[in-house]
Amino acid sequence: MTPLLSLQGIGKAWGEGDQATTIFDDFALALAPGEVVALTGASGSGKSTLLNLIAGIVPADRGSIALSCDVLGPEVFRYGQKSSRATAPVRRRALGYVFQFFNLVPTLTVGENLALALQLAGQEARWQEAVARLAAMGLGDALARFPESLSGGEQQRVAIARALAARPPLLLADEPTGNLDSGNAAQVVDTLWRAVAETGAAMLIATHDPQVAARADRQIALG
Amino acid sequence: MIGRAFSGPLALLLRSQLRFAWTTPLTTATALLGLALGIASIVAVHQICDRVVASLDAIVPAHLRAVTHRATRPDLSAADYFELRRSWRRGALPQVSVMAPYLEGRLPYAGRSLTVSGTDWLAMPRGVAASGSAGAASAVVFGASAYGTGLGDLQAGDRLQLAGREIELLGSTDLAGEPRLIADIALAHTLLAPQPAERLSAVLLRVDDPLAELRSLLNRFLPGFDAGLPVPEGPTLPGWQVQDLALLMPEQRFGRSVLFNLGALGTLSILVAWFLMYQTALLWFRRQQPVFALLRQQGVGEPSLLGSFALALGALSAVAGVLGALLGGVLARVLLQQLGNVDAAGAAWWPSALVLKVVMTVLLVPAVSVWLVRQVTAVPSQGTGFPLVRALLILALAGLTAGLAVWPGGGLLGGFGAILAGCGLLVTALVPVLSWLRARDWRGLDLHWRMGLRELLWHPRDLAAALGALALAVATSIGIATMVQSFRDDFELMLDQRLADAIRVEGPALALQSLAREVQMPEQMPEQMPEQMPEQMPERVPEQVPEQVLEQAPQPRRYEQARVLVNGLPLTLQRSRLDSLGAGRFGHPEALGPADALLSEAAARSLRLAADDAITIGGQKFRVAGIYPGYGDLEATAQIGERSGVLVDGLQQPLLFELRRLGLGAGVAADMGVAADMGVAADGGGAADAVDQLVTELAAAWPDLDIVSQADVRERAVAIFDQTFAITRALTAVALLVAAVGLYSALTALGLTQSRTRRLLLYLGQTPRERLGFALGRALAATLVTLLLAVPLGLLIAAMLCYVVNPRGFGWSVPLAPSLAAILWPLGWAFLAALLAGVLGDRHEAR
Repeated sequence: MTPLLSLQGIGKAWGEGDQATTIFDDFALALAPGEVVALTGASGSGKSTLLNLIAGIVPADRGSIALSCDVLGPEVFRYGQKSSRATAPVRRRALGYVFQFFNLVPTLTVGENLALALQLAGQEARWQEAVARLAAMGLGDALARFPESLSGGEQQRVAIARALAARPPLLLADEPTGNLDSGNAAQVVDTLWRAVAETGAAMLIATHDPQVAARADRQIALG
Repeated sequence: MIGRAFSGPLALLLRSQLRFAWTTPLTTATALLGLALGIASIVAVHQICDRVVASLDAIVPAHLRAVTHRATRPDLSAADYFELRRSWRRGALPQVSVMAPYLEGRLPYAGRSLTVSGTDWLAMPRGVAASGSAGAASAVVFGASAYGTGLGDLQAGDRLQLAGREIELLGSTDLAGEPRLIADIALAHTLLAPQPAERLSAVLLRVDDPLAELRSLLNRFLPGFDAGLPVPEGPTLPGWQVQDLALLMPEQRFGRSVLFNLGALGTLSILVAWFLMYQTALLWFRRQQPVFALLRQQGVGEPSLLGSFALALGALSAVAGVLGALLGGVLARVLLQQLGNVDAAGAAWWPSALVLKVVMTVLLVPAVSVWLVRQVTAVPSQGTGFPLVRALLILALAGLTAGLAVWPGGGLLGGFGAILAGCGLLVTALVPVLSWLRARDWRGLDLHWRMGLRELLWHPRDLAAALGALALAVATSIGIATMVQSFRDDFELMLDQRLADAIRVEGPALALQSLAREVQMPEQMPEQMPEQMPEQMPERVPEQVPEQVLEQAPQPRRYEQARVLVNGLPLTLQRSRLDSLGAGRFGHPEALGPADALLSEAAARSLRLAADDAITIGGQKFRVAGIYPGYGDLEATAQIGERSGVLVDGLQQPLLFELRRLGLGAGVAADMGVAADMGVAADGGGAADAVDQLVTELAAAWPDLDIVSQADVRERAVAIFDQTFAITRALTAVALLVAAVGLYSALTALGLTQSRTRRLLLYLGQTPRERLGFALGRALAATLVTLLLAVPLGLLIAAMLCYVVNPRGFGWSVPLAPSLAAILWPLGWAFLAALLAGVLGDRHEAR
């Protein structure tokens, strides 16, 4: 079976010369469609860097990244050293992203945040589906509200709905519960797993929380 | 002690602040440039106004420096004066501190008309008498710069023969205005020999000004600004007419009005500069906000944070102050050179008031910054309504704007006060307007545009200052450019209308007479002329004039001038052939009869006359046939035809008309006044080449005369006009530049608060091209908001300048002619600033 995501021979270092710190050296990873993988490791081990490499925000020093999904066309989309401009289509159509902080555009309402993601992905037709998913998360009445009027947990659930609105095949989540209390964190994790299962997306989740990591299909320890 | 104050946490914090400035060079440079430009505009305006005030003070004749009003009555005699003086001594006129008799008349001297002014110098304050005339047998002469001949060449110690007497000059100054001899009243009486002998021209008064201290203070901080304050009313004297001396010195009045305009424009520049400083402080605060939050969490006290922030901004501001002062000094000198007749070299670099102003401005930055840290929070402004206090403030400002605009007693200050109140109204109303706009859902707008617009409106309080400043600068620019363009259009219309002669000839009256006789004697010679100056009528026939040149020269027109008092008001009386062509120069449709006169707008206003009213000039009754636009007329002026009868002056002597100019060509030459200084012209007859050739030949034959084609003069006039307003344009451009830097700062600060949003959009797949479009959209939105605010305000300012300020300050009104270029040019600047802020900010964020 062709993996959804394949990383091979990835090398990445921060800084130059004597000051350079190697984060990855000949790193490899494969992710099957619908698979959930937890990235664990100490701070500075490279969890966020790996997510940024996969998102195409940061180019790798060497190695290749391949993404194989219908939304990017029949060919395997290969990148790794490409610029963030060249990888914009990956982020628009194939990826959803959930951060620890600042997941929503504060100057757009909840509904407009969903609409923005759909517009960028060219999936405006999925509007009703995205709204229904939001309602299923208990936020059906929040469409016209601005993010600043929502609690942290509510904002994070909207962020999940936004990340999956265009039904991307891969969801990247960077410490999605790191900024929440335990009650809200559990609720967000439940929402996340339910939504991923419902959409069939694969997920790569960076986390410090062993309980969250334990829910994944497999774990990769970095560092 | 100081060292101890800067040790410990504060020193560390200050070092951190300064390091921040060093490591963010673009931000620091922007702030530095904006502050320096703001201070430069303050320094330049101050120095320019200071020098213009000095030049204007110098043109006031010595005998008028200590007095403010002049009182006259029909057949005024010495007995009337002494009776008034006795009454004053008894305490009847407590507001009057100086009273002196005054005698004025004209005498022919060296082919020109010389004004003799005599007063009792012992009745004047001591300092004034010492600088004027002392002793019955001597006087001080003020030469004429207008024509540069005659008395202008005389110096202290020279002697001149006048009315059979030899007079020694104590001093001579080449000043603007007509040739004048200032003497003791006894000498003036001997020279002028009035009939009856007891006759006086006026009584000079000095009326104490209750606002004198305020004027002095205002003048120190904004030289020339006192011209905007209302002039103190003269005392009411039954049977007397008391007039403000400003009416007697229209050149100075005009100059002071221009100065007030400059000063007021400078104030607008200062306002814009201060807005920028607010913006600079805000930008720094936004940049450092996360660090402050961190330091607060670590237990650093608020005073230490505020202190370090204020000190760092103070250091930046001090550097900007020095740079701005140097830049302002250079700018002032360059602009003063444009004025030509103002001594640029005398501009003091550090008058105390200017230092104080700069220091105040420099200190304001840290003060505002501290205030900001206390007031502005990261929480977006809530609420979209109009709080009661703001609503009341808006109402008060709106009332003030309207009140000052329509209340004529407000004078120039009222006119500009209305403009300032209008600008205050704009800025005050801006925050709620932005909040209201923010609360709209903008459903019809594309999502990206909606997001850009909301970003712009998300922090209304932050953006209100920058947009307000930019709108203010753009509005000022639109207003002044529209006014200047309207002025220019009207000026050109006046040139086209009045200056119809192909060739203009000026120079000594004798030479003009000679040329007029040689070219072709006019069909009618004014009756008085031979009797007035028989000994000076030229016998000279320039033998070198080629016959064919004289044949080519067209019929000359004579332009003569005299000064008379009408109801106590000095009136410049101009006499020329007012046939249908001549009357057409003043917009009058038909030829004037011998008992008809045309009045300038200034004369009609001063004398409170309208068309078809009657007026007595020089002992004869005239009908006011029309009022002509007074553009270029500094003085109250009346036009009469050559067939008017013999006129007499206040002493019942035949009125002395002086030949000022000849016009050769199909039409008639312009009247003089300001237009003379600016020039006059029109190609009214013949081909340009033929006219030029004739000018060349006549000039070679008559070297004493200034012979020019009207086309050349017209070109020169327009050039001088443009030069006169170059300072206004330059200052407006500086204000615009400062405001543009302010907007850049504001949008950059906005970008800082929205950097996380930008990052999120990057993760959502927004491309750099889309991001740039987003920045451009935001720039467009900023320009749109500026346009919505600035265009109406700019047109309001222009209307105020044309219809309120100009009539109050200059005595004429200009029809408002809005021009697209005047609107588009500053808006283009605003858009460029917003665009640069958007693009540079975007690149900065992208890094």
